[in-house]
Amino acid sequence: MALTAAEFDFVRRLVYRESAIVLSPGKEYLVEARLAPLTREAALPDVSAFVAKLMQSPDRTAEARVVDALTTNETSWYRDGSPFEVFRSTVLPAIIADRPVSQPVRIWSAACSTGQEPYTLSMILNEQFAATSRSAEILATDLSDEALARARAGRYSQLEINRGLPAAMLVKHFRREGIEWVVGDAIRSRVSFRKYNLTNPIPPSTGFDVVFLRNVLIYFDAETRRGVLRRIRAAMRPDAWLFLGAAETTIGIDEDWDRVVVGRTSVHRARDPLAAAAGRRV
Amino acid sequence: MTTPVLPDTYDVEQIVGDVFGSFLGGDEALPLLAAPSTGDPAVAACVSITGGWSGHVVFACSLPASRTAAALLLLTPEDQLADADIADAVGELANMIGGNIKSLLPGPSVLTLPLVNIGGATLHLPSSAEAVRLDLTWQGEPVRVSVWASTTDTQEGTAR
Amino acid sequence: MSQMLALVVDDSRAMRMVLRRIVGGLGFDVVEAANGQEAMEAVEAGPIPDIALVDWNMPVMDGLEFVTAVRSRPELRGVTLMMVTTESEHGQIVRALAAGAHEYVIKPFTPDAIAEKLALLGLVPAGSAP
Repeated sequence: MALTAAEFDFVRRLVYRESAIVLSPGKEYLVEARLAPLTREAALPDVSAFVAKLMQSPDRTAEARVVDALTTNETSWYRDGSPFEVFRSTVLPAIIADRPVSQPVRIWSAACSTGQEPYTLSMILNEQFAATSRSAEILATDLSDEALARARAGRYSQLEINRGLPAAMLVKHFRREGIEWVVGDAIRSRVSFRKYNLTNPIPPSTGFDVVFLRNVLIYFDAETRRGVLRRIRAAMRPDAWLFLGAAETTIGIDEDWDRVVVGRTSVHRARDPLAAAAGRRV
Repeated sequence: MTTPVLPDTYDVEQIVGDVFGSFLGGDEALPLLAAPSTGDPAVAACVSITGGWSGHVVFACSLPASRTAAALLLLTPEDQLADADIADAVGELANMIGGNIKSLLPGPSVLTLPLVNIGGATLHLPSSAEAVRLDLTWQGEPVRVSVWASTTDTQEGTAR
Repeated sequence: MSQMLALVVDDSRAMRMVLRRIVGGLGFDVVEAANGQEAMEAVEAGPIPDIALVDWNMPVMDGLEFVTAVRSRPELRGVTLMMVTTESEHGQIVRALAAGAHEYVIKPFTPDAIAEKLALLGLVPAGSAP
């Protein structure tokens, strides 16, 4: 049986409440597809029955898994290529130019999903810092417990490894264990993982040099986007850089950012970061 | 005598699932499901592994399943498929499954080109024993993947 | 700009069809060869392909031998070589890269995986979908 309007609405509200992600009408197919595995596991005949049961008897664990299933997206290594190239060739040199070697570069991967983005950044840092004593710390956060557990484990299937990871990086930084590939300690040790909901008013840490927040804002409504961008400004150092997804912008949402265009990629810099950090509107 | 190394059934399932998911319809197709074992399927493709581990990987299925698979891979209507097309498609499925299974086993070793039988002639796999068998249903038709380990300890020559 | 040319080298016609659909969908002209020797003949007859997608286990001349042969010919410097094979041990990938392969895709793969590798190699823009 197809999902009823009331059942879809229940799921929509649940996902919005837990993640601020908006499931617009017409996304019924997405709910059906993403909840099918949970339905099979619960031995229920269809997704409609699964949601109906959840509506009748609330279950926090099942609810969290529904939110996970609807908010975790497939991702790849070096996703979209050019932001990582701009990070390597422009942003990183600018950060370390006037900075003592002893001061670590701090990066926040703010929607790290199953870990491909923070590990990609760590691989790039490995190459760039190979001949120096510079260090870097990557904080990787996500809303989903399931995605974070997979990211922390650093174990990837062959199909995941095929997705955009350069073969030279694969053989250098991964080892084979059974059917999986496991990310090496040199890459892993630079990354720490923490659960964090971007709608939380308190940032997970402050003083970041670079923030990656790619392909996340598109799921939020305008008000949530504004709040997220303001909090990120507050978590950044004055001279820090923000990477958004290719289809995302600060324009019309939060005007206190400048865009720097490098090649085909836009990078965002807070216009008045000190004011932002103090919590004042400019 | 050392215990022979055998691939894990779960790992073989994942490999077969990845191959079918990537090339034979993905999410929209009917899933591969575990099924009771039936008689020997009519179409069988075998690749052999020799070296650090020796044995065979056999991909077998019914004639209708082999035609459906070949039609999907070759984008050709089923009634226009020649036996060579079916052998090619089923052979490539055996190659992909066999190559991935090889990577789970002690190496280095080499993978042979697939040998395909259409029409129920029994595959002779001398001096080997079935170690893993997956019986599945795909599009309502039987599919079987089996791994056969060599019973002659050629790589180490240990006396038995 | 004229279309780029991809040479698909695999002994399975089914696999050549799968790859032809994907790289054709990304805008390449496609030629096929069923083993390394046929591929070498195709390259020598010209036109020289921009990329060769190369299986490993093939009759007559295997993919590793083909990669080695192409790399030994200075006039074929411009050919990008990408292995597409079920060989998936760490050591095998190292061998292929050492022989001169630029990239490596493990079978099975999805169309996105091929597109992303071609983007890494600079042959299609990032975000291209077949």
